[in-house]
Amino acid sequence: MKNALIATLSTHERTLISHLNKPYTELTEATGLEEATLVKTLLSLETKGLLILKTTKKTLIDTGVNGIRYARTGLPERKLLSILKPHHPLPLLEAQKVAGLSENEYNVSLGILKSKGMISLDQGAIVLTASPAECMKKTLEEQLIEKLPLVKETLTPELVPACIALHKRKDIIELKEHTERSYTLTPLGKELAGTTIESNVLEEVTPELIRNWQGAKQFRAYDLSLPVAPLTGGKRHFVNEAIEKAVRIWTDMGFTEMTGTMIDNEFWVFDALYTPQDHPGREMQDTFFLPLTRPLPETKLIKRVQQAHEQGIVGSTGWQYTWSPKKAQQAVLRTHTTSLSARTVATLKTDNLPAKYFAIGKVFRNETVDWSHGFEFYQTEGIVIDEKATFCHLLGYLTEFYTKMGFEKIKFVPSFFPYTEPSVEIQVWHPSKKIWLELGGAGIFRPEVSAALIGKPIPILAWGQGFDRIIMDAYKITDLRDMYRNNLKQIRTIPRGGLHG
Amino acid sequence: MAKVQFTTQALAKNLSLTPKAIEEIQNMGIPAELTPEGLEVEALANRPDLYSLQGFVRAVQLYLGKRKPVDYPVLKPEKIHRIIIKPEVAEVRPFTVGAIIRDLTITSDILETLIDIQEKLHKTIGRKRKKCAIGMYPAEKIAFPLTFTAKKPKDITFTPLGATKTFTAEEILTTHPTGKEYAHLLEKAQKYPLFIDATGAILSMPPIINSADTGQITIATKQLFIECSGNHLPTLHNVLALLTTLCAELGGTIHGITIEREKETSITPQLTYTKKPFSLEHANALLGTNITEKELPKLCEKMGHRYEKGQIATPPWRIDIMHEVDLIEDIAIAYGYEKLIPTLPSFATTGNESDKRKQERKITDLLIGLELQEITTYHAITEEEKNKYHLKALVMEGAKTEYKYLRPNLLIPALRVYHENKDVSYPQNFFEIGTVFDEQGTECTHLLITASPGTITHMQQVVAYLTEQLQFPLVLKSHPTPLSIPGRSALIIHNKKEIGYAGEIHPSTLKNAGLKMPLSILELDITEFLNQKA
Repeated sequence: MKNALIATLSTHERTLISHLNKPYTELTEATGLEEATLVKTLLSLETKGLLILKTTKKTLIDTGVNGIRYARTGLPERKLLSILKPHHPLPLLEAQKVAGLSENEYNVSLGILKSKGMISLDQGAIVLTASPAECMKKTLEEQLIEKLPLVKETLTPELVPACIALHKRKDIIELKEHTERSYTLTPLGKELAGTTIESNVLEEVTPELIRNWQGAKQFRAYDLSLPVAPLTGGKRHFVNEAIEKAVRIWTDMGFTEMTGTMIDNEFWVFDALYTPQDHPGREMQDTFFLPLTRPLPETKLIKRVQQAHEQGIVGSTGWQYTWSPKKAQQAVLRTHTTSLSARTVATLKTDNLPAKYFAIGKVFRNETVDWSHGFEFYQTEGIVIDEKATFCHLLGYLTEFYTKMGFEKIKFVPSFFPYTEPSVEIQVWHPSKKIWLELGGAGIFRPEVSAALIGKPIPILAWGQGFDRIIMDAYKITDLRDMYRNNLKQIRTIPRGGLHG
Repeated sequence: MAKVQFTTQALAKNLSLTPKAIEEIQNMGIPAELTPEGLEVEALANRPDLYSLQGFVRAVQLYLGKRKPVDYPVLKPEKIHRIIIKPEVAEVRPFTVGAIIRDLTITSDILETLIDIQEKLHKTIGRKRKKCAIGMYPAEKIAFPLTFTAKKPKDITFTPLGATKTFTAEEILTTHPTGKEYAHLLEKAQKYPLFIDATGAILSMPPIINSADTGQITIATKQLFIECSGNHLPTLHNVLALLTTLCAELGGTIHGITIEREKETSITPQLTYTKKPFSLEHANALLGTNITEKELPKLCEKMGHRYEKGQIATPPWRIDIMHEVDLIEDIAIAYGYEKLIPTLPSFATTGNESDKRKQERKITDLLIGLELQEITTYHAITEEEKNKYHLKALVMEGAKTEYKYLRPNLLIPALRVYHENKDVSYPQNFFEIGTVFDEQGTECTHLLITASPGTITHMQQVVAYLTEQLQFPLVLKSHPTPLSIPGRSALIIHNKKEIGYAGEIHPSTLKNAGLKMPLSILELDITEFLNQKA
């Protein structure tokens, strides 16, 4: 134990131990260490259980630059007092000249004497009110200056206000923090104190040391139980880490990524998805509108979409209203990534089927912000375009994805969206909260959507779930706002791969 | 979507809220939750028939097999029960439909039900009365036949509900609380719509308000007259069907009204079942099931429909059936989603990430190697930020938070991040890859790299490193840039094109931003790099 301890001692510590039978005040000289190094070394020996360091902080009062001068010439108020005579009021302007005081000194002196009740001012003249005996007596300030240097903590109570008053004035006194140290040895310290330990131990391995290595030298052992400064490495933001994981799952499942702009027109965000133009979701209350328009696609497609809305296509009754191409041009921030799916489907040729696509992207809703809502969030989107696709396949793809994301129990319940039928809502079991989490919607694109986009009512399995809730859950974040706050302490320390491995 | 509360007491007569029953309700696709008061239900937008207790009970009892779909007979209108639509109203609110309800004892509970359903339908499918406004009147106080017409505002005077004296139309729209709320619906109208009875009395001025004399139903009301007016006839029929079938469920009888419009006459409400062709083969193919024709009638009845060989007849209160797929979904719900087996098809496709993502990852990997921390910020900036840095940015209209403009660069959000973390340990070296927007809404992908503390030399090194590693030539050209120290800032040039800037941020900018550590940055449009084949 003792030997193991000795092995960890640094050169300074070894030197210091040989002098530990001396009082603190002699240590600097005895060891040749600078005070700062000495204190550090003592602290280190304290943690190693050799001694207890006692530190007392004191405030030393000493004379300042002006204080030294006034000690010689007297304080300004004394000068002023000395030229005043009883029953001879002295005009203010004259008094300053006679006393030979600077403007500042004069004003201070007037204030002090007035506050002590030794003078009063009457019609622009100074009247001495103090008795000659009072004038003779030294003021508390003068008494204090005479006694300097003093330790503030030892001042008699009547001198404390004088000290405060003088400290307020320019450079008359100085207050200095002064630390007094001493130490007492522990039994282990007593055992080692004064002993000479081989102090020529090696610290760092340097190129020079390697070059000159001759063997048989001792390295100091490091105490590995001591805390070290933390590292902060370069790291992906956990939100993007989670997205990368989801991207990998979709590509593993044979899906191709779709990309596109966040600004799009209402045509692709709503109309192509059979959402009627008076749908409440298309109002400013829910959607961010931009003071822009974006051109519509080719005429055939517009006509099919218009017909789907106005009188219905492929056996549908349609929404039965007059569809406005002008409204369809209005630019918005996409409210879902399904606009990317619509654009992708519109470019497909039926002989390229089956095809599978995914996207993970930001979507925007005009919401106020709180712990569970934001005005932008991620959505994970997918479509499967396949003549033989079934609703059970849709459930199959979603089960596969969410199982790979780490959810063990998945449930499907009926739901409603304007552009899918049948529609379904995905719920996953949260084992620790013991609740079903609602993740979002999916379904088969309505024939009014698919027939308008590719000219034929081919089944298109489609889904678009909010992704932020999953990220929050995986990284144990309780406030959605933390995902975009970039609190460094959080993003530096949040464990990598929090998304279920 | 509407949240609807049903008290345990009200439900008790028809439904016991056992865990099994709650589960079945959820299987119907109706989010339902037990509360201390009873049951809270979310009626989705396609099912306004669930907004009332009676409608909800009807749907659940059908689903549980406790009742069969019923007909709602409409009795032949009496001769005087007519509404004559005048051409004057065509421009402002062209359509109306109506019905008379008799034999309904209006208790205070029923009165509350009627007012509540009216409000919910107004809000949802009525699109806040724009598409459909509902009026309910004590029929015994009205002299039929009625005229639906429109008059100039100055020629309209009556006592509106909630008032004791007569108002002009203008006064109603400017001083009456309901009038003020809905005045915008008549904003551009030259003439305002009116229901006028045979004596010339004004019954109501839709979609704003009824008359206090004849337009308020109470528990003393013996016969109910219901009208719906608006600009979309199919919606009016749907709303009237929902209201009249509800009244029938409450115990009333439904009597028709003749609607005369120019030379056409029709009788409303129209409460027959609507037949649509239905192919079981389609249904099984789309769902991936093996449902037999024998099972079909029962599955249909669970959702309120009737199956008749190759056809499904839909009740008038199911207003959401537009296409065969809607019926297929109903069959799936009746069959039970929980019985559907998730299956993966056997065909193979190859997956692929976008080139954009692959290219971005090249950059990301390099920057993490340089020990930079990735940040990810909002795509929007605040009004204050926009003004402070004199930026041009595209406005997000009507934004409800302080973030009102799309970000024109990544630096401003990063300064926000530095401010947020000003007391966290340094160095703080960040990067972000993200979309930025100009005033025309053009989107570019930018790369931002920051070092704090950091110098322009640091950024020179990064530029050289990226040039080498990405094989994407970037050259710094000394040039003053906003916010940076002159002589320590540069444009970043790629093949003679300016694509970014680098600089040591000026202390005055840092102080102004509330930051205390030196900061150097570079911001670069990497759209061209991302468009390269990965």
